[in-house]
Amino acid sequence: MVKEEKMILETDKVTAGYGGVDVLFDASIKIKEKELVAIIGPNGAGKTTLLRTISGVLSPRKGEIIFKGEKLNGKTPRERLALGIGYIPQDDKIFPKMSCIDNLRMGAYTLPQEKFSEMLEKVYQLFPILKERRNQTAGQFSGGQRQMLAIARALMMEPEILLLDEPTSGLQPTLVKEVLNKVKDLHQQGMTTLIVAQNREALELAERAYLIRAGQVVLEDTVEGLLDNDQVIQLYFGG
Amino acid sequence: MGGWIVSGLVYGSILALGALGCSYILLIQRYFNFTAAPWLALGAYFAWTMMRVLPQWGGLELIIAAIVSMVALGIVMTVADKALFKPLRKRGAPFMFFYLTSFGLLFVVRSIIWLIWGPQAKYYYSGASIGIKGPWGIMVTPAEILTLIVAVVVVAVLYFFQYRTKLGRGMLATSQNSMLASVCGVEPETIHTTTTMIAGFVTALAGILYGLTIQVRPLMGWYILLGIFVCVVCGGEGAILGTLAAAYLVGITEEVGSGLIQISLNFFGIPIQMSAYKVAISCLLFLVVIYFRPHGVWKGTFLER
Repeated sequence: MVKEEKMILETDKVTAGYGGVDVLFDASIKIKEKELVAIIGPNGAGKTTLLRTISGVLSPRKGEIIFKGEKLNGKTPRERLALGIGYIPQDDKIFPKMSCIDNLRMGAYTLPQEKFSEMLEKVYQLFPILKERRNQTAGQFSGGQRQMLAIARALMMEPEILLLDEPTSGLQPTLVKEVLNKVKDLHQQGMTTLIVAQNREALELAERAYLIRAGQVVLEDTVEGLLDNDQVIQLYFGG
Repeated sequence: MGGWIVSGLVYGSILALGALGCSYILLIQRYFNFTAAPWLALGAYFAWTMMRVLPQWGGLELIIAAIVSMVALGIVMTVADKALFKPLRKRGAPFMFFYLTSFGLLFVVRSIIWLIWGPQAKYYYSGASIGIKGPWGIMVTPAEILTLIVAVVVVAVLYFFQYRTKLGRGMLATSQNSMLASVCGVEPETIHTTTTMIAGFVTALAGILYGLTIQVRPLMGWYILLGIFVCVVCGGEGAILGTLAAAYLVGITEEVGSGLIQISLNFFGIPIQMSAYKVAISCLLFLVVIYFRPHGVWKGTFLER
């Protein structure tokens, strides 16, 4: 279904877990450049584990992760960040006791100061609210603003791919739309995105999707195909 | 009363440095560093040994000895961290293992000090220190003035480092969310090494100033460990300015409290020397602070300003 030559990210039979327990088994996914791919599945299926393994927070026990033709196994999160992988976790996605601007400084931790100022302006153009609230403590932000800040933090390094783990989790419906619109805008500007989608709106943004169940990739399809699959929609998005 | 307050500020300055060392370890590595007590003594002994080697250069020898001792203790603590605590971190060991390791190391380091330098008290300079008469007739020794200045300067430097440098921000970030910090490009082991080195610097300095104002002895750290513990908790577990404020509070309360109680005891003819029970006042203060200000005397916790 996906042409090999345009792959930016590929996981090949990746097995990963925590402690002595495997959570993800032989997971293989492929993402093309500038593509927006969704991962869906029930809670505890291994979606977050897959994203953590790609970002380097977790080491795979088996399998390979290849980014732009380079094997990522053994590379630290810092090295993967330098290669262009931006990761936004589902929970604890900001530093709540730091100011907004300090969160952005953390996003640019490995950038030189002159580049930081340039990136800061770009990010402020995308998220004007962050400029207004730059000196406010991030812990005082609303859920939507926290998500914006988390995305902005990841964008400070100009990543080539964004890994978004349930970006609308816990947000009220108006904020869900706002956050997804930002994801859509970024994608339209050419950002390759891998998003863990927990609602239909997030899934609809994507071009393709993978279904993970019990740690295994059980289905890959276009979003249209998945949306036509009543069983999947009933099971994961409640109709 | 003025003399008690000055003594309290001097003692508080030493407590503040010891407490900052413990706070850094607590915040980044998430365990209370019981070994702070013998580390503090080891720092003082390193400086004492250097002082025996160096010629008298009008006080310059003390500065050189202090710098060498701070670096040496930083290195020794980092080696201990890499040998004992890094494997625990790598395995994701429960924090009780960190506490037990720290507690075990306490006895090992204490025994080594005892073996090398013996139980006798030692002094950086022979002869009594001559006090300077200050305002309201308060007598202050040069060592006490030095202690007061050094503590404030060190706190200012640490404050600047913490909030104005990239590495300092990396430490703050790691203390709040180590996973997110690593995703931002912070190398966890660099942070652990920096933390341990800083803890080594300030702990050695606390030991040297204690040795300078009182004396160098193997159990010197042990005597002030409880005071350090009270400062760490009351200061807001790592708030830099909070730790200094808490240390001054503990120092002054101990000195003034024990002085006033001593006067009362003398009045009623009760033959008790309060100087032996000063720590009890710290404990009482600890309970009061925890009851009324459970997040510490300063506004925040965990390296907040």
